[in-house]
Amino acid sequence: MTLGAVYALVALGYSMVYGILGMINFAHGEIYMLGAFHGILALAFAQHYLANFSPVVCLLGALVLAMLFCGGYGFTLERIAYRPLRHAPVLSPLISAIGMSFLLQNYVMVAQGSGIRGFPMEFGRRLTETRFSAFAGAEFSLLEVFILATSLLCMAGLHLYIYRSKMGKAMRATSQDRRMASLLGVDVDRVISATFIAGSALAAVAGVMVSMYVHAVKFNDGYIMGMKAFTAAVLGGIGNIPGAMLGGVLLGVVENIGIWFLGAGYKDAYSFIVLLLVLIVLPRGILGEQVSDKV
Amino acid sequence: MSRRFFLTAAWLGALTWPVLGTAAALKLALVVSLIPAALGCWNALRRAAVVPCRGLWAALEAASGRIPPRFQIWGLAAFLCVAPLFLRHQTKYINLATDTLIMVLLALGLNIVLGMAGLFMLGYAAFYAIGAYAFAILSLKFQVPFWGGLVAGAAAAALVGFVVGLPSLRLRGDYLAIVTLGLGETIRYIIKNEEWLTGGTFGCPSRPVFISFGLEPYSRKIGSPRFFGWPAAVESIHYYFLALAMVALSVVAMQRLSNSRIGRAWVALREDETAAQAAGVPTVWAKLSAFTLSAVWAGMAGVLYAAKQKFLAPEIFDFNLSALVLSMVVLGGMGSIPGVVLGAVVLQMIPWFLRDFFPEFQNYRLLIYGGLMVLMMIWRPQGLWPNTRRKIELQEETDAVA
Repeated sequence: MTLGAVYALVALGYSMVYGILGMINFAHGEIYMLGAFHGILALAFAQHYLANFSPVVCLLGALVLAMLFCGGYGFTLERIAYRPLRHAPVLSPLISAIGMSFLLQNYVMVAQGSGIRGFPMEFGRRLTETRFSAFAGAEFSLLEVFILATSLLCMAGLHLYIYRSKMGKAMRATSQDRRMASLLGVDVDRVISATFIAGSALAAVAGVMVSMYVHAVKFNDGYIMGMKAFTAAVLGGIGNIPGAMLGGVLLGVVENIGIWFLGAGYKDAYSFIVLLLVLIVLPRGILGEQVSDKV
Repeated sequence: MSRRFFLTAAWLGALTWPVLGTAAALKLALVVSLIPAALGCWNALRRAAVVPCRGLWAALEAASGRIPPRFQIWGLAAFLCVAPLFLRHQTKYINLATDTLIMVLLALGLNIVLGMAGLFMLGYAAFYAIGAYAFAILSLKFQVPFWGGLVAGAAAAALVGFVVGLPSLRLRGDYLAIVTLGLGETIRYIIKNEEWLTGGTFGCPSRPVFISFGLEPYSRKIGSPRFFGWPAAVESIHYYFLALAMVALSVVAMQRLSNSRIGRAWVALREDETAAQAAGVPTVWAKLSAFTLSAVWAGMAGVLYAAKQKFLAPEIFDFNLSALVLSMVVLGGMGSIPGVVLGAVVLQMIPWFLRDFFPEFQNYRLLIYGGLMVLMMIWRPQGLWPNTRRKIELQEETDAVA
């Protein structure tokens, strides 16, 4: 469930970008990884210089910082790699995204080393050590509750942003018909930038929380997370925001059940198998719109 | 202009500051802010060099125009056959050339499904892995000779390709992409986990045995084996010629395929599936044959790789390889055979070039590589050598938009 909430957060970024641009942002997993790195760097800094601040303040500060910087990275990514290719053939931005993903991964590797970066444990300790026991002997740690709560909060915030704010309205209009929206006075470029920033900020939250949960981050962590989140987005019906949330949670649950029944060796493969089964029955995902094909 | 660059520089510097540290972020900002100056220098240089260069270019063009295209192809073939003979003992270069040819085979195979039929496949490395592992296991456990292994590897890959093709009948576009990606990853996990068969993470050796050409490894024959009557062991150069022959045959086969009935069916499928179906193109058959044939090529490339490398590690068949082959096809120009070959050669050579000539940039190799991929896509989104038919269509489209 915890994992599922995190998948959902990252999946949202994929789904939003897909809904508006119709492209898979392959570098989104790297944004997640950058988020984790920024969180860890910020906390390491806090551990050294701001030791007498309360850990909760530091954690929130790290979250906000990671969101800000990842939003910046998302914005820059779109400006550099995707905007010049807006009118190019369909697969060109995809290749450029793969190139960007290589670039970001190796940028972090060169700058931060290829080893595992540990999470400054002081901040997570209280959260992991406080445990609740719930129904049927299942145990939760405070950290898991924290992750779940933060994810839900972020999703609720996104929902409000998309369905209540002016920019959200513009986003929905753009995803329906980009040309029409621009004719009606929507600044499409700004909408796209906003989409990238919002999606990247969510990925940053996910990154910080996962690095807190598993205590470490590595420069190539973004890859497998990207895959899974993308799977989650497709599972729920790509381009569909509630679908991404549902897909993410479902994927997390399925993965845990799979590990329970079949062992951890194929851990990363279950998600794909489930995806395959779902797509064979519902070719457009669970909540995807059933559009008929047009000539 | 330069103000914009300064702003960009400041932005990038601030953005990368936490990750890079102060000094490196400042350096990056400095480099970016120097781009306008560098561009100015470059333009000045180009203006100075443009007259002699244009003369040279025109002379070259005239010279190449005077040679009929058929001779150009034969000349290229002769060069590819003869040049390695002089480098025979420089195994490094020969191996590089062989690897490049294997990648060309892979890219040509993916081009069937992606370029010709327009089906978006992301797990291509899986078929390559199937071919390689099928050959390695057969050669190790049953002493199957190379040619038998080649057929078996291609057949195994074709079977898997067919099976992967089945879900594609219901899916379109990006859904298909993620399903093929998932299947590819699943196959990789199977290879990694089923240790009794594939050696798991420890890898899997292969023992190639050649029964024709008089090509045999030392262990099988006392004394020196013979190659066309000359004494020879199986050297890297033999694999080079094997790969070259396979690439040459494949190029011819692709050319014939793309102009055949099924090739035209693929193009129809790519342009508009519903319309193709309405016009009587057997879409089910066309899709399945595209998947199967494309897997055959990957399987053959895999067999060649397994025979040449003599050892398989599961890590190399990961998504990066699929992404690399995909980039080769798209960068070269989807659906264009010379384009795909060119794309494969360029993308295979860049990392090698960076490693060999700028060893101090060893760590930056993939970083530069990723950046170059982005730049190349921005520079030529339609590919280095686009398909003629497609190019005309795209131009018409832009005219219509304008």
